[in-house]
Amino acid sequence: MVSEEKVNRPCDNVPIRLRFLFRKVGRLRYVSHLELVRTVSKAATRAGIPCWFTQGFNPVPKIVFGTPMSVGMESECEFVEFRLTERIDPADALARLNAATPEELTFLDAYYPDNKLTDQCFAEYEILVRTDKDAERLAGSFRRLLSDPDLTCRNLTHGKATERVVGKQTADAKVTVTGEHALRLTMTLGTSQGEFLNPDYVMIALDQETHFLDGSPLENTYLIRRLTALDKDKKPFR
Amino acid sequence: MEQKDRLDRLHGILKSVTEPAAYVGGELYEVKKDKADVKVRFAFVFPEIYSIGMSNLGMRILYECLNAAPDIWCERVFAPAPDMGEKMQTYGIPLTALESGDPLTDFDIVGVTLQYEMCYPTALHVFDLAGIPLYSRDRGEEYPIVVGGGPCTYNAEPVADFFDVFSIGEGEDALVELSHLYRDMKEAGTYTKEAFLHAAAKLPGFYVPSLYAVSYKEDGTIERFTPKYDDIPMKIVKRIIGNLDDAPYPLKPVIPYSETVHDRIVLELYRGCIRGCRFCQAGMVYRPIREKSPDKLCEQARCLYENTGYDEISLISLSTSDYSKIDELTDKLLSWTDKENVSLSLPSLRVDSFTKELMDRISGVRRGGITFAPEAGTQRLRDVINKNVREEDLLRAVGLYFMQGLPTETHEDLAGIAKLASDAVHVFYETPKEQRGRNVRVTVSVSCFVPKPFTAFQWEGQDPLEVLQEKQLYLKDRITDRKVVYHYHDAKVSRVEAVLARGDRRLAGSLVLAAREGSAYSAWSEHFDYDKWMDYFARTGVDPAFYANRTFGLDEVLPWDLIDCGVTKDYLKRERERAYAEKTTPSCAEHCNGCGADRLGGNTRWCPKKK
Repeated sequence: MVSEEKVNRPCDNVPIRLRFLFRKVGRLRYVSHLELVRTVSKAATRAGIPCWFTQGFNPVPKIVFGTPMSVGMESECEFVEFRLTERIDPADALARLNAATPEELTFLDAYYPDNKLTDQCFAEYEILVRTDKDAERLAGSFRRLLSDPDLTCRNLTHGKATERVVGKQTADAKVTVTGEHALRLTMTLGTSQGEFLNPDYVMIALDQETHFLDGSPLENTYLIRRLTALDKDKKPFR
Repeated sequence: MEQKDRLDRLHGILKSVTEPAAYVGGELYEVKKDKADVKVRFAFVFPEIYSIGMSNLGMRILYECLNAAPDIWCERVFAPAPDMGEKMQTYGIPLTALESGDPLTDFDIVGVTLQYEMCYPTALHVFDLAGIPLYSRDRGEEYPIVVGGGPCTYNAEPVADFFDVFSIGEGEDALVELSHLYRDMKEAGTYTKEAFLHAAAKLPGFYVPSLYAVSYKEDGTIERFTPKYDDIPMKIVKRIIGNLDDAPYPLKPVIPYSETVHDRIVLELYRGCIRGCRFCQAGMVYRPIREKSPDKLCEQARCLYENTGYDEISLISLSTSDYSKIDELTDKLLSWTDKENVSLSLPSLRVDSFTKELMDRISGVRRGGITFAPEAGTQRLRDVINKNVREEDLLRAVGLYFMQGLPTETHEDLAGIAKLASDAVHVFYETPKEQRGRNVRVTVSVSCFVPKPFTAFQWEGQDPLEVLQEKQLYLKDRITDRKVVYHYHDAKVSRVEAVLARGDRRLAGSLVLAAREGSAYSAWSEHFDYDKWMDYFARTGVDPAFYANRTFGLDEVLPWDLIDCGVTKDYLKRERERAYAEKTTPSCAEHCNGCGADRLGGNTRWCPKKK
């Protein structure tokens, strides 16, 4: 039996949603999504933001994040929404939240949104590759592989054989050689439910075909940065 | 820019390890200083992984004290998790401090906190990862001074060869003094390692092991300690902070991104313990009892809440309900905590001073089960160990801690553990339905007795391993109630602990083998291998039974005899006699038993002469 309480969840009756835009770069890239949730939740308390608390056994401020990212990735465009018990001045909240968070966690904007977080459908990524192999040759291989709609990432999880076709979303990807041992890739991938594609999967698929990560991890690695959030028409999402 | 490059260089490695955030720093409230502005760079090493070390209150306090001095910059260093440690060794990446990202060899002083014996090999592993030679005698002028601190320094003889100096007792003032001695000698141009250590040995509370030679008798016991200079003390008296209200307390502790083991506000109510449990080292070495005032604690709690945003306040000390103003304190805290959705927790409660009213009051926001530590299964054995609790008080618990292998223990005492646990289950079912929870499960956790320095049982031998294991199985058979869950510690770990706890300098070689041949993380049960330890001992000519299972002579020179923790040997001997006579000793609140710790002074609450 579904209880009435479950259908009519209390937080749905709390209409005040304040959305923040923040960057997650530098050392913050090593902070996992869960750790970020904790940090922002504590920061909200420190900043004195009038959060609405969940009504369960363990009351916590109600905070909703946009599309999560894997550990090791950076982003210029992350979103988080707070449920509030009262309307507050966004500019003031922004200043207070920034004062209550570590230096590298920067909130860029705060506003009362007129859309939903789930309206974000795509994100544009930049991937910097460092390699001890020949960058030109590697770029050629990458271009060929990324234009193949059947490009597949295998064995994503330990012990369990899984496959994910990534090539369907990588046709528009661009590969530029930026140095003797450096490449830059850009691509736009889905973030909505069902269409979500982790850019790490694309890189794993490329590695499975080219073994570009072989050798010392000090010399062979890549860094993913989410540049912009896009809506269903690939227009900037805010 | 240099640091940024290093981080980028490590990206490929950090991306592939668990919890990379533990290696990069940058948390809220980390202390950054300009290298050019400071005279002493102090690396504070906690030889455990980040998520454990970051919970430690002692480290937070000393980080605060050292950084309060404008010319000292104290940074944090933790042992990497095994996966990261392996990669660091494979790719030749030195261990660095979190704040600056600089390797440990760049520092003036490296301080290592020794919290429990099993961290010794981890500490040596940290030295290896940092490129610091293990033995003090192998470290020339170019290396940092290595200072040890923490509870294990009450007998640090097993690691004495690796440390230049030990800070005995509370380090708040002591470490700043040591750093300033270093600064002054450097500035005056009088600094050499030897001159510095000689000067440090004359500061109160510092033990420089290399300045005391140890000779042994034919039977393997210690003959004597011989000081190298006439002007250094033959007893190193531990340092204490006289007035805790005036002592620095970290109101802006570094807040990790990740969840640490104790992820909450920690309020230290008092130091010391009025009880005199005869197996307990902490109850002796933190004496005399010094309390903080409720007003100070409330002020600090409010400030910590505003600075951290944590939703739980933990009131800690060795026995929280023995705090003389616990009601006043909880009243004051509850006046605002419930409103702010902050819960209070009292982790170390004693059954006898525990009141139901207190428990009901603090469980406003979040509710948990009650755990007690009766330690022994019968009243007789509880009298032996001086754990003055009554059976009827215990029966409200859902978690019970016991110790087995205690001196004079019989199978009857063990059977008492099983009976106590099922009695607790029965009490639950006798409670009217509307007053009790839905279901009950009583958890019994049993550890093995480890004789510790500075306790009434410091001379006792530990039960042989086979006896400990037989007792564990005996108890397992006795616990038949399906509502009782039985956990017990690995007796093999306790045996190695016993060797290290009462060990001397002849263990150094075994510890080097442990650090370098796969036992660096012995504090973690999955990395502990008893057979390997026995092999390290055998290869270095150490008989573990000599340290763990032998009953030490009452007039024998003990490895820790150079240290004065306040409590006298005469008192410990008296307590030992009372134990065998099955006589309890009243708490300090009732009666002064003359332990001797009042000599150290301080703003004590119970010591009669100081009232």
